[in-house]
Amino acid sequence: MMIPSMWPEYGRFVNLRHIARTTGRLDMGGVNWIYPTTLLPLTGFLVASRGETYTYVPPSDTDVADYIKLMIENPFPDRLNRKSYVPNHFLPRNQSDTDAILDRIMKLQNDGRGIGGETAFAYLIDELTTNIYEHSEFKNAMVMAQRYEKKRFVEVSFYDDGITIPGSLRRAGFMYSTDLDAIKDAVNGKSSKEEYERGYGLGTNVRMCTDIEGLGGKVLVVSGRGAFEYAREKSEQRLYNLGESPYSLNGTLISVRIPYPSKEISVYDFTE
Amino acid sequence: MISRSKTINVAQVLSANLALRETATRLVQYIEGLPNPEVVLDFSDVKTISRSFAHEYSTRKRDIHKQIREANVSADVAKMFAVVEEARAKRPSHTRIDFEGIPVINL
Repeated sequence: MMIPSMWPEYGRFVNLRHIARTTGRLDMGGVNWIYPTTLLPLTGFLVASRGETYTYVPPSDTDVADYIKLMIENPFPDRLNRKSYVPNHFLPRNQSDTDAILDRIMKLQNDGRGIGGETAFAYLIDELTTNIYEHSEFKNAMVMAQRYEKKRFVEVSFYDDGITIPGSLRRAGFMYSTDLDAIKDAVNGKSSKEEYERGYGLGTNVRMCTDIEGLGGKVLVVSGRGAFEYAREKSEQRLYNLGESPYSLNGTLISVRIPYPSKEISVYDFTE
Repeated sequence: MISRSKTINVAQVLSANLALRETATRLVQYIEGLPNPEVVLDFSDVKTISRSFAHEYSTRKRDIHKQIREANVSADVAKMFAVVEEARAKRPSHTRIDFEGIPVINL
């Protein structure tokens, strides 16, 4: 079964944000389904917009409306009885509190069973969360994993409102003509940290999540004024120069869709 | 009297899933502050370890003047330590994501 592209879900966030900025109305009346790729940056937008007044029009579907209300208003609920999703966890500034959140995500996703196995799933959430702490200088950051058993995929999203991947590399002294060039470099191992053993997390995860010998899924990265979506099939790969368009993001969104169930894989086939 | 060696159950004091660099830093700082000249890290209940944790732990461990020994390390965790050490020994050539030929959409 073909996993659908995540770009339209990011576009849905862009559209909602654009309408909210131009009309003062966050109109979700037409939203009948929402994925982490839309929900996380939308939550980030609402958090960053505190103090501004947006008229909120909830989705007409009451189930979806309740879900969004829960996710946006209460990101730390004890929802262990609902095993199909993890709420959007805000990452604490104090990293010593983060292990418990990552443990909880592992537990709620059955320790990665059906999502490449424990080691691969832990590698995905641990490395990308580490990157947020190491590079982004965020004020707000979130992680969310949700399993769609009928749609047969799992979506995991990471969002932060920090200095972006291009911003982090430029701050370290690297020069790029476009944000997209910086993002491509980061995927292929460039790190803002000086040690040469650094810079593996993003690239290894892109390969592990998309390779046919890996999880065979899709990865979407949006950071500043650049973005790409990557999958094994060439026809599903896209690069985006976002420029000053409404698609640009003050922060970084990384979303991954993995076929569910996926066989257990060895992360060591992708590490170097 | 201080015993020569102290054993620490890593999963109990940290987590069964070792994820963040900062956690590795805290572990080594904790070890450094112990009066015992030898420390045994018992990894028996550790289920996963990130590359970042393994790298940070290995890097910081080299810089402290204390004997640290890892015990009951699972095959998976041992592999990650090996990956980090191999990368340290030689700069590997990354298997790159080939972005050539992918359509660029300018918005």
